[in-house]
Amino acid sequence: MEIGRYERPKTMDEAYSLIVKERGLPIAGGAWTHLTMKKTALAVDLSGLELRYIRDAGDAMEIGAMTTARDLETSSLLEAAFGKVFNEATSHLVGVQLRNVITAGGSVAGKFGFSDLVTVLMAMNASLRFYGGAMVDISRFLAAPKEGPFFLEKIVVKKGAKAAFQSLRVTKNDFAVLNAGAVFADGGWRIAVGARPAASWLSLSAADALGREGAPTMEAAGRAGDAAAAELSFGDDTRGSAEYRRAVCAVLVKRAVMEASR
Amino acid sequence: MIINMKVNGKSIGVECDPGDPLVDVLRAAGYTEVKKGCGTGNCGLCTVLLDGIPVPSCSVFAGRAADRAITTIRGVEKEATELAKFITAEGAEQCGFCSPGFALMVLAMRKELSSPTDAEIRHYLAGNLCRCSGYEGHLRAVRKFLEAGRE
Repeated sequence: MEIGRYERPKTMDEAYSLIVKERGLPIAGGAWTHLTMKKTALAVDLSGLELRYIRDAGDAMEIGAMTTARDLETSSLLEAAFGKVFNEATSHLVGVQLRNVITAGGSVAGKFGFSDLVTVLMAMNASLRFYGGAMVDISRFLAAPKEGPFFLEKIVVKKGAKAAFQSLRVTKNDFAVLNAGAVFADGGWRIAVGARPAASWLSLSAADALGREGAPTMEAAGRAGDAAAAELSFGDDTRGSAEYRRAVCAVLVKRAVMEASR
Repeated sequence: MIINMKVNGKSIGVECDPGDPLVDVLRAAGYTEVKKGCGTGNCGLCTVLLDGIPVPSCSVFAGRAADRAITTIRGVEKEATELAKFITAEGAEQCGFCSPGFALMVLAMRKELSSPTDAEIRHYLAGNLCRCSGYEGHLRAVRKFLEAGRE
């Protein structure tokens, strides 16, 4: 990647100015950016900011944008709040070395279709805090086209969710052929399916099929899986066909719902 | 752009594009013990410690390494030589191309996990590919190396 000017700001205001006013390219982990072979006049390295943290904020957990996948994988705070779901959504990601580079903010901001983390955050109805801006639901962020530069500061996940993550992989540390997240919170379900191979998306019909029952039967979970498979779109790539993904979707959603309801 | 970094305790300045992969910059500066494999962060050959944390240097911009400390296998020669005795005794290697990255990961694991199970060892080292060994010899060697360190 060719970079004209490289800056590592020390303050949030300085970073915001470089990204938003000077239209610099924010570099979070950079693990995927370096593969794109882009040219950029200005790269803004966010690693000099205090954005690597996982905090208990009372009714929610806050995840700084520069928190690494390895941090999420090994966080006892997240495990205490949500069980093993963050561990399961990060621990298959290649190796420990790369997970020390990949960041939560980079995964979200890149809207990567292959991301396991984004599927979990979608199912958990996470909110994104943009520096100098408002809080935005992750589903709204993923659905909207990119409009101008932005500086993602942190991800906020409400506590009280019963969450589960499922995925199918050709090999253990490969990207998923398909992934699914199921969350029961506030008396309702949210079902997200990712690696379709397009970015993670919610299945409203699967949530409807489950209603407000926090402990659905195996049959109800199966109906939710079928509903998600019928509702969502899937594509072909080297890991699997759209038809195969559709069949896998029904199973993974069913398993995720049953796991989350335990 | 000149990027200043400390490699194995020695301060150096290298002329490079900040967007170059760190592995290329290190090798051009003479640190050829850092091996280059896939270039996508998958194989673990190019592992170095960045401020003590293992990272694939192919996936780190040279600019990010500015004013930071990098450790290659030469920077932990004494510990790596100790590990090598166990690797040799277990017949765990043939070509040795994966050894620098593998050894750095084992040493990082020893700092991070006090008494890892076999499953935890496999999980921690899953990002280090070896096409000669089949990994069983590696596992035996690592287990014995860690046990010896605890005694």
